Amino acid sequence: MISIRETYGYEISEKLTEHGFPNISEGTIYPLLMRLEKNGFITANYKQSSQGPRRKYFNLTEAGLRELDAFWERWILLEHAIHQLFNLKEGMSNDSSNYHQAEKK
Amino acid sequence: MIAPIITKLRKSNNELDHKLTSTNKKILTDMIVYLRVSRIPDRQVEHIRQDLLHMILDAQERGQDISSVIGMDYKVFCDEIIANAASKTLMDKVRESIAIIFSCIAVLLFIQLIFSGFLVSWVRSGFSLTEVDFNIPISLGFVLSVIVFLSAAWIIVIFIGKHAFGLTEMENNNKSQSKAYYRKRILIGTTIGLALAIFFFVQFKLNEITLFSVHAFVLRSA
Repeated sequence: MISIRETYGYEISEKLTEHGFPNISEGTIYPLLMRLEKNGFITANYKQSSQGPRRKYFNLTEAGLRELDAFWERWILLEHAIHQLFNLKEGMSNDSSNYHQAEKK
Repeated sequence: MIAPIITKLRKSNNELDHKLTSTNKKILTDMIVYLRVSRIPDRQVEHIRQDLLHMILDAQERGQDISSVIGMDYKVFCDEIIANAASKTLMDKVRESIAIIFSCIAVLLFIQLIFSGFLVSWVRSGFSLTEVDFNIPISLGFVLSVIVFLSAAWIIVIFIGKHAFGLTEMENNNKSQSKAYYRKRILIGTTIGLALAIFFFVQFKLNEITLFSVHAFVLRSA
């Protein structure tokens, strides 16, 4: 989310909920944002908002961008591995179902 | 010595505090007390306090309950913050400990200045610089009382901080007003009273042993 454009905590939680992540509140992601900031992957600055107190906006750093790329690479590998396991499971379910049908005949 | 920027931030946070509802203020106070006795540096706790204030005030404006923002278990939320925040460095711990110890010693030395009778003598002498003995004796009893009071204050602060959520729950829970609860409080009160009585008796005896003397103006500047 932060890599797309500068954003703040509540907006991130709203976008995540829109994309299908259930029960994501601003408080849920606050500790994660702290960790990202501590590790130097994001920076924070305060800007005046039109609706009330100043908001804390986050931006991705160069190190954050590299970490994000590394995350996507790991995710693709993991997704591929899980997809393989899922195909194996489906294969085993089909074999089991064919076996039971043959037994009935 | 608190950095001016933190003083300014604390002042701004105190102003935002007034906008919270009484329930939310109580909850936030418990969280900040819990975070203050953790391994997070004081200056970062103040920044976290600012972030939480903004989060809760935004939720108030949207008409939402605080639990919709930080969940039902405030202690778990605080533990997550502690796990992901930067820790105090050794220098931070040393700096904070020295600041607290010297502040407490300054207060106790000022009390010693009063109870040693020096101030009364000095006023009676018309603020004379020659007729009064400016050397204030520091006894073994005083040194012992400083160590004991500092340690007790430290333990009490850490206990209250670590149990901030439990103490508030106990206060809100009407079931705690049982006979067993009152018996426990009486026992704790009697134990503390007895301990204090023994302590003051021992200190009274040890006050006769002077370790060294300090010039009054040194105590005054402390």
